[in-house]
Amino acid sequence: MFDLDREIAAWSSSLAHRCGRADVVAELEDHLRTDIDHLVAEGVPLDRAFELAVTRLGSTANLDAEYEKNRSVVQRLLSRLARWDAMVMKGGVAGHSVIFASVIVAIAIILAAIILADSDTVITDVASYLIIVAAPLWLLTRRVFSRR
Amino acid sequence: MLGIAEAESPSAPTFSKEFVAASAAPLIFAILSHGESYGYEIIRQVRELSDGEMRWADGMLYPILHRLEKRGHIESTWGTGDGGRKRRYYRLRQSGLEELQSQRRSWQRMNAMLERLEGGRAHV
Repeated sequence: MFDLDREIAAWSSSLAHRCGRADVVAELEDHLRTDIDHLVAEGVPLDRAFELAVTRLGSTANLDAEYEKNRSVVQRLLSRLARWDAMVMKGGVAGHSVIFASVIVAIAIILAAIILADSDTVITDVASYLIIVAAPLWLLTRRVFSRR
Repeated sequence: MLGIAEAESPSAPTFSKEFVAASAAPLIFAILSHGESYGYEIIRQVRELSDGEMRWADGMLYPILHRLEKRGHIESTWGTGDGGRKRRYYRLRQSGLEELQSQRRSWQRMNAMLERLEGGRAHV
């Protein structure tokens, strides 16, 4: 038997995994449920109403791509890094993703080096060292452990 | 500006994707100038106002609303909708009202130019 709440929970979870923002998921879930209510009131069976409403709303990948346009460059980088990290944990990292992540880490290191060169404050120094040391270590550690 | 596009009926593209994108913000401002509203209702109003000819891909509206909010033209609050569900309501801010007036003038000017051209009162 079709379980609407279970289907919506799965859809929400997929969206949350991609965009990671609870307010976005809550807003879109309200839209989805409102659309389903209207369709059912028009006589559309519940399972079909769910399918139609999800199609109208668009795929979670497309939705995330639209929200991506609202993010700053740093937010986009972090978002992709998080996605890459999630893929590593699932063991599904493609070659290009490894290259992409390596480029991000390299950029972080260069930026940190520039900050360090110009910096005379302790706080910026600590932040920069954290970026240089912690970011690659974090990625490496998760990658190594995910292979075991 | 925007990644909004007609979605449901590819057979009724009265408005091009580019036109829909360019008109999204002024339409949202104009709808919100009548009072606060929420995503689903905004989409429904646009469909109704255009006699069903302008169809927005439902999910594409929300990033636009968030973008307009980030720019300070609109603001949102969480309230309660149908069946006690959490619902995000949007309302127009002064800056959005000014933007609406400015865009309305631009569209009117464009319309006047096109009509003059159509009436043969200007050299092409």
